[in-house]
Amino acid sequence: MKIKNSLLLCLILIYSTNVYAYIDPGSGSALITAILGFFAAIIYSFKKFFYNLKNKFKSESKSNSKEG
Amino acid sequence: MGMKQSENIYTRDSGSFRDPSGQVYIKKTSDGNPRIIRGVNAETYQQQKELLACNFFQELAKKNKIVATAIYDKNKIIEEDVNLNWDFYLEHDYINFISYPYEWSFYQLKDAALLHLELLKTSLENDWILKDSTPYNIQFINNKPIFIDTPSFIKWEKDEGWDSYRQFCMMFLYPLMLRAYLDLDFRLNLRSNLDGIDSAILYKSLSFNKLFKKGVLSHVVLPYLMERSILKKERDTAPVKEKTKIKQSRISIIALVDSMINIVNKLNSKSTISAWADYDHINTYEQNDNKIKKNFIYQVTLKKSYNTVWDFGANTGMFSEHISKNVSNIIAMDSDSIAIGKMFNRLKGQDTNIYPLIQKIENMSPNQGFNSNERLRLESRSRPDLVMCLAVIHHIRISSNIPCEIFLKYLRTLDSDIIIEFVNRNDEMVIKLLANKKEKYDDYSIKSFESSVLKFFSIEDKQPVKNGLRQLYHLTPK
Repeated sequence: MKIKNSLLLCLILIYSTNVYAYIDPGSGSALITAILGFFAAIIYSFKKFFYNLKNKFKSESKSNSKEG
Repeated sequence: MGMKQSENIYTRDSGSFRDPSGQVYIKKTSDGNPRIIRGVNAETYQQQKELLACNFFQELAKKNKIVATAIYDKNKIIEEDVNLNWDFYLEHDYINFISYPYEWSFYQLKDAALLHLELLKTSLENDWILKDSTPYNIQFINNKPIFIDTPSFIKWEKDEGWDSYRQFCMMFLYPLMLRAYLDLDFRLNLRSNLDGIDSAILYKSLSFNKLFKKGVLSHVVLPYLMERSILKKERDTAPVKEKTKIKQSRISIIALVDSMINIVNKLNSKSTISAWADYDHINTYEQNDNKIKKNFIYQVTLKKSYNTVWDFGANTGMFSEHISKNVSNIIAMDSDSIAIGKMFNRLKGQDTNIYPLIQKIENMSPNQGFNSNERLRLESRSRPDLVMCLAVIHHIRISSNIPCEIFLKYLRTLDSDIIIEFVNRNDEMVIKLLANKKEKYDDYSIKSFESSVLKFFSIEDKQPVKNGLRQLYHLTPK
């Protein structure tokens, strides 16, 4: 019985090393970049929006002070 | 014998064969300045021609961020009677010395990563993208990173994503995180696995509270879980499924690259404890002894003109800097990554000919990769004409158990002049090393050292240091 079990275990181990030879674990990375890119784009756009807004205020206050 | 000239003029670069679009050759020239010639297929040539006409590319090349590139006249290849059959050819500036990421300190890899991301972002803004993300495409000139693989630039097609994102993580991000978050040496992994570090290695090494460090959840945990679920679900025996293509907008890739720049920028090596990095401040020499040593190496480098100098056990580069004006190039090597990192950070703003590199003399970079010929041992990439081994021999003999004669025999294979410092048994540093050992190393004496030296070298000059506790030699090969 013991021998049978250990033979079975050996077989499982041998086969399990072969199982992934054709699977690319990186095949999910397109999905990952899509997910991360989506959130990154939101943050990026917000940052740009506020940056532009800040610049606008700055230039306005500058031109105001010049006029004043 | 009818052998074509090509065998002598053009040598195929042994590491360049994986990309089917081209192949790199090193061309010897009569003026002694080699050139890099790259054979490319027609499709790559069309894109490269377009790329060369782009302003952004030329701007980056002008700033030495990309290697200078031009189209090489195909007729010249025909005139030279060279047996190469590529559709077209490009020509690049020759890079004097090629190093590998497993020989770099944290800061060298970080600078390379930031250059890669900068080029990627700029390309995307101009409708181009980098198809690979490997630090092997980046080299250093004057301690500044430079990109050398121009066919990596390809046209960005609408809806295409950042295909080499995973490679970027494995080759740049995870190694840097390993040092920054776990204070582990990434070089061990990069040297044994040329494809980089798996997300699983990093994920399994991180404790719970480290999962919330910058970039970990999104770039380590998410990819790891995704990869694990793919491996669980799919089996090799499953029929091939048609995969739906995920469309991506340019702004989302640029934003992702931008966030990656933020993450990499904030990664820092916390490691400051090192046996050697402070050696230049606290070493036990008297000032005067150091002066004698500096003067000796200075005089040797004045006598002859040396092209390439190897400085073994360079520490943070004090002696290399002392002779740097007398020679063309110095590779300053130490096994201590912190000392090398410190040297790199100090030198990178300067216009210097010193190249900091991590090497352990007892276990230098080997020939490895496919057919053990893809990444080369240091001795095949650089030929020194002077090798300095200052205060190294006692570590070789006593710490590493390499007999002096075997070490000297190795030095002889380099076929160069040698400056070597013998550290006597009664020097305090040797006494310290011997205190931890049962073995007494009776063969370790100046007399037996000199007799071994004379088997391979002639002694040109000698100079006692530290009242005779140490002895400097200038040797030439016999």
